[in-house]
Amino acid sequence: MSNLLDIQALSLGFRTEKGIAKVLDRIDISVKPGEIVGLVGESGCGKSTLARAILGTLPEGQTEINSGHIRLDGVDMLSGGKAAEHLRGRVVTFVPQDPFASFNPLFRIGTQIQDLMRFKAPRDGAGSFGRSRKADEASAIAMLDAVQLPQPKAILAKYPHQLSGGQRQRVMIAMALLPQPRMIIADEPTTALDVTVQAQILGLLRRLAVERGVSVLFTTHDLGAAWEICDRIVVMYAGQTAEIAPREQFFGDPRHPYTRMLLDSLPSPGRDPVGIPGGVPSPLKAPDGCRFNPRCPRATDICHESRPALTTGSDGHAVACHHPWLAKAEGAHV
Amino acid sequence: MSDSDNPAILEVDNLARHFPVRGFLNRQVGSLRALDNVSFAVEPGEILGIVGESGCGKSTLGKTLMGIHEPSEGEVRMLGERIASPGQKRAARIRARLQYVYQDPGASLDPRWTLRRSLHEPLIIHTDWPKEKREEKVREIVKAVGLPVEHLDLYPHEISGGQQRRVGLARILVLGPELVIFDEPTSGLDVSVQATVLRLFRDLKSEFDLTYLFISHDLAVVQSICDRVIVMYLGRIVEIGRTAEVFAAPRHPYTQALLSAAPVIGGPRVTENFSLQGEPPDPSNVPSGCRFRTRCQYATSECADIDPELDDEDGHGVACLRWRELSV
Ligand SMILES: Nc1ncnc2c1ncn2[C@@H]1O[C@H](COP(=O)(O)OP(=O)(O)OP(=O)(O)O)[C@@H](O)[C@H]1O
Ligand SMILES: Nc1ncnc2c1ncn2[C@@H]1O[C@H](COP(=O)(O)OP(=O)(O)OP(=O)(O)O)[C@@H](O)[C@H]1O
Ligand code: SF4
Ligand code: SF4
Ligand SMILES: [Mg+2]
Ligand SMILES: [Mg+2]
Repeated sequence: MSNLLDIQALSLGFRTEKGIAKVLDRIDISVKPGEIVGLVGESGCGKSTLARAILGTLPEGQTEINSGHIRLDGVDMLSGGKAAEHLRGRVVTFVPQDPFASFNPLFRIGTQIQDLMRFKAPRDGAGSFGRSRKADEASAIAMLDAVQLPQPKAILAKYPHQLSGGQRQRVMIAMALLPQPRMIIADEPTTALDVTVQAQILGLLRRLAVERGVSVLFTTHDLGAAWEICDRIVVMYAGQTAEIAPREQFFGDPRHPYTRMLLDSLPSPGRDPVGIPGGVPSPLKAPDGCRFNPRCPRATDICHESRPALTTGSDGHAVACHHPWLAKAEGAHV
Repeated sequence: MSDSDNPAILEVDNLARHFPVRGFLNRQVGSLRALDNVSFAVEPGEILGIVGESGCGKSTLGKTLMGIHEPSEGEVRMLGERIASPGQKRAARIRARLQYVYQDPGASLDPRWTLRRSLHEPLIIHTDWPKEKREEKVREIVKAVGLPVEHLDLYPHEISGGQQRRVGLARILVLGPELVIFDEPTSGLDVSVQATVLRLFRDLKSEFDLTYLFISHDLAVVQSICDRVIVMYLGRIVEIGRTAEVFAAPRHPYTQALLSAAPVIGGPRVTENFSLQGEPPDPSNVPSGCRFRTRCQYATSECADIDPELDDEDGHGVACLRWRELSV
């Protein structure tokens, strides 16, 4: 199947007072129709920046694109043309980490949904005239129903602060669904939520992918959540792609030293989690070569000199490392 | 309730904390029952976890134990001495022995002060030590939490989030507490940093003979670090017991649902058959009888009439009318 989203060798930076912050360094990511791809990595490694690059919401005048391309449904998203603008908010929509900040506190939920529909949602039936409020309300209610919000009519009449965190996140997902997009970018959609609510929201995203064929790019630093819903996982470190693998291989047979150390950091009963010494480098002075080299126990001279290329094996498992862990023997399991 | 012969370091008896709900003209129109009928004891040297969904009263419990909130009913005793009850003025003497670590340690550090000043401050308030003695203590603790002594001259914005947590801990430890209440000590941290912070908690606990109350909604963290765990729902304790036992064989329907919601790497996808719907009811309008009955798949009419007490068997307590019949 061909890719819906295709990002290749994307490098970009921000101009700051202290110089150029090289936030993304030759990133490669692709997402197929109906696929859920997890984008994981520590805080500050560039997950949100990548999401914003696709959505076209990077700070204007401050951003420098140095190389690469982002193609969504074949359209070049970096050229700034009309075609790209048309896709945003329609073919690709966004679920933010903090839904509260994305609502206008002064308007009822119903009003905000209606505004969104006026601009982005396709109309059922022909004719741009006579678009009825009734029809709008009916499709809004249908969408709130789809995200399993009880009493959707009552929700439409409420203000954002009258909803719980989980309810707000569900409304956000409903709003992201209204234009009937082919892809949803969800930036840490459950980080602030309880596990019980997280399970409901993740289940919802998964059903969307399975039943409606919607693709999801899901950024998270919660590896448990990534296990829960992803088909494939991309690990990013300090703006570089470190490893890309199908879910089972990612957890069962990680090859990049950073991935291994991330997994070893997870708390589990009866074992002291290991942790990773040091921190993510500032994009203002990122190390040469492999950016993980100051923290990597396997680093040698070559890691300081040259950037390892992302190499894909026959099993679809890609890793960017000069000294990766070797593939496990046949028959190994998670 | 105790499963050892040691006397409890902290005893909590029938504790309640209600907040007034105010309406027009600030008249009290109701009461929010953030905490009700909570009883348990903390053994010296243990790590006792407190888990439950947002709003179930975990922080209210921690703050009521600390004396930040006054109890509406019940009492708290530390080493036999009553330290909190309705209308009681707080015993200053005991204060330093019980410490509360706020969720966001950065917020407890004054951005205009160097870390040195922030660390001397609690000693200036609580002791009459001369400057040299304070400095000596501060250096000892800073080393213990794994920060270079040179960092004492830095300002909060010059250190990372993980380091800020270390400073937050150091601020508590300089006072030499016996019991430390942590409120969500790892939330917002990357797993790589969390791992080091958790190890630090363990090391400090043995080095300084501490006892911890560990409030968290991260079940994996609680499972890995706590000896015993309390599960709360809507202001009540619904289950308490040894962590390994509670996680392996939860007795309360709510605990079962909560544990089944947490993803298990390598296990089946929980989202495919997760059954618990909705969110907890409004605590200013709690259901009659068992507070979980509006979401419980096993609820019967009896559950609406009877408010279940904690039923203890082998140091594993559960507040459910039907747990025995459901466990067979
Ligand atoms: N406008 C900007 N100017 C300069 N630097 C920026 C700007 N926006 C982001 N950065 C830097 O880019 C890096 C990546 O940030 P980003 O928000 O993409 O990380 P993230 O992976 O989403 O982290 P988190 O998990 O904390 O959300 C950080 O070092 C951040 O400081
Ligand atoms: N000062 C207060 N005044 C009024 N109501 C309060 C106050 N503090 C807490 N509450 C209410 O008491 C209930 C319990 O709150 P608490 O903060 O103890 O929950 P929690 O379990 O710590 O939740 P979280 O996981 O979100 O931190 C909530 O309904 C909350 O809104
Ligand atoms: S390339 Fe070198 S420094 Fe980078 S992860 Fe591999 S071994 Fe470590
Ligand atoms: S008492 Fe009844 S409603 Fe409450 S948990 Fe037990 S079975 Fe469910
Ligand atoms: Mg982000
Ligand atoms: Mg709290």
